[in-house]
Amino acid sequence: MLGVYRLTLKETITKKIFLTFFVLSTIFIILIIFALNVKVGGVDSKILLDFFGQNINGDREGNLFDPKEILGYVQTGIAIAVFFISIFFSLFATAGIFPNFLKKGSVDLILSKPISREKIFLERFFGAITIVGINIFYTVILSWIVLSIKFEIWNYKFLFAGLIIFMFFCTLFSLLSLVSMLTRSTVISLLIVYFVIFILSPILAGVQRFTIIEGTIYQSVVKIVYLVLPKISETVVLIKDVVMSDNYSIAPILSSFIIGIIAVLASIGIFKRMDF
Amino acid sequence: MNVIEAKDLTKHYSGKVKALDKFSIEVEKGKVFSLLGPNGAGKTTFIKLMLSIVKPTSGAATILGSNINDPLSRKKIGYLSENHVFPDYLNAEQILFYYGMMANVAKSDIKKRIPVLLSKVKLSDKKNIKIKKFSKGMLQRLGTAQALINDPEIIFLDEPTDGIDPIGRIEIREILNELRNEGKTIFINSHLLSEVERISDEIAILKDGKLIKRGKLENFINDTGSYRIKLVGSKNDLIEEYARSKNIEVNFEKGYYKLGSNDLTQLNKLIDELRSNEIMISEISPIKETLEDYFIKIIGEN
Repeated sequence: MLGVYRLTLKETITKKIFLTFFVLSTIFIILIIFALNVKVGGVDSKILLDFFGQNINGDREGNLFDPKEILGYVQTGIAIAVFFISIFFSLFATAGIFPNFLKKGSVDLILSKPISREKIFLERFFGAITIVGINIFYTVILSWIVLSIKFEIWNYKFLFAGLIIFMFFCTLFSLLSLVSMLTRSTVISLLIVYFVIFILSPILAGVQRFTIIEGTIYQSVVKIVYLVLPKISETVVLIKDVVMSDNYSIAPILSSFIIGIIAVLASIGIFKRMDF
Repeated sequence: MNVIEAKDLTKHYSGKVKALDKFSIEVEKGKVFSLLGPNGAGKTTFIKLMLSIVKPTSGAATILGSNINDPLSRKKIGYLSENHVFPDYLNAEQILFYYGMMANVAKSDIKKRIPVLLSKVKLSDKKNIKIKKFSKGMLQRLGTAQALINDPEIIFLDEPTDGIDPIGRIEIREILNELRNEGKTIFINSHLLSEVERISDEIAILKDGKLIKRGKLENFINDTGSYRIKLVGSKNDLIEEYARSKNIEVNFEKGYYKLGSNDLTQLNKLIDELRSNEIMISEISPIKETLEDYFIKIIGEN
């Protein structure tokens, strides 16, 4: 009957942050519709851009822009903006999903229903990511349609970027759920996940790239820690590559997603053994 | 037929605290069974074990013949927890809808049962009000309705009348009596012994996680072998003189004479004596031990 899933959807919808995100996305898309005018034509099917009444007909050397290239830049910019904004705010909005649920008096009533704990956890989990997914895909799909009509180019890979954003959020929410199971605290869980994603993971990515720490043991430790964390820097690069080129590797999102699945399995294992 | 069976059910928290120690019990279908005990006796732990909210350290139990580890054993169970918390962004009707969905009740059945249950707990006119505006008593009544949404065969109630005013208690008691008449089995944890005494068929007393007494209600509220008499007017020496002459213990307390004898012949002779002296009697009744008296005595002994 998916009662826990429906209740979680209801709980998530009541949070105004998602409504705000939805409204802001809509305003942004309306802005693109009215402010950006693109004329494809001229010599070699180059492009004439009009943004907020400003004509941008080419670079300083007088070369006209390639519409495909410009569309790639615009879509990359949108995808990366959606990536950071949606992840930051969605994590914030969903951080209480498990800690609130695990409170005594609340969880008891749900556990007394004829549903297994695995199912309760998964319904709760999917209830939270559904609303985030709707927000992400709403923004990505609508902006893709508008831009495709304007540029007369249908870059389907932009939709794949939306999927990557959503998969990355799922990974982070899995980690958030695991930390919530261990700490039962919204604030602590959120701070830990923000620290891992926005501080630790980029630092380790930098250390990896520039070999700042010398010595085999240190390098190995850094490598292992980096491997078990979701890879935010590499995922951002992947989003850009997916939108703009045909050469990209999905390894960063795949490895991050596998970490997410492991986190979900670990959370279920912990939840099954918990006493309330 | 036993609908609840527990055998040597044990729960130790953190390896040290023995919340429940080899507790065995059987509850028959259609009975109102009350589990009593001081705070920390293990009453709530027992209910939580039966509903898999906590996991047993050892022992086994069944509900309606199914092992408690099987989620489907809870299909025909209703539960009202102590200090339950509902999502405060929902109204009463929505609470019953979502908790009905969780209890695997068909949507059409939920829609039929919601008005019936809201009427039963006298919340029909409050069905569209967000529950954050509800009083403790209203939340408790809503909790009771929630426990009944799946038309359960067994209802576990943990302190159902806790924090409720006397009128609210009467209303909950009426609901429980209705459920008993419908043949439901009701398992109650309560501190309110006077409430328990009014509705229970059977009682068990727990202390420090161990069962110390169990039996039918009447076994707990025996006659004390004493009578109390109230006379019209003030204290009268005649009754005391007569009682002493017959070696009957007599005390005067709060306007009543308490006679320590259950010999009906002697009692009638005393009445004759009083009446022959034109002393008016306004009340004569046997003194029964209340459940509270018994509880305090047995907890003290243990």
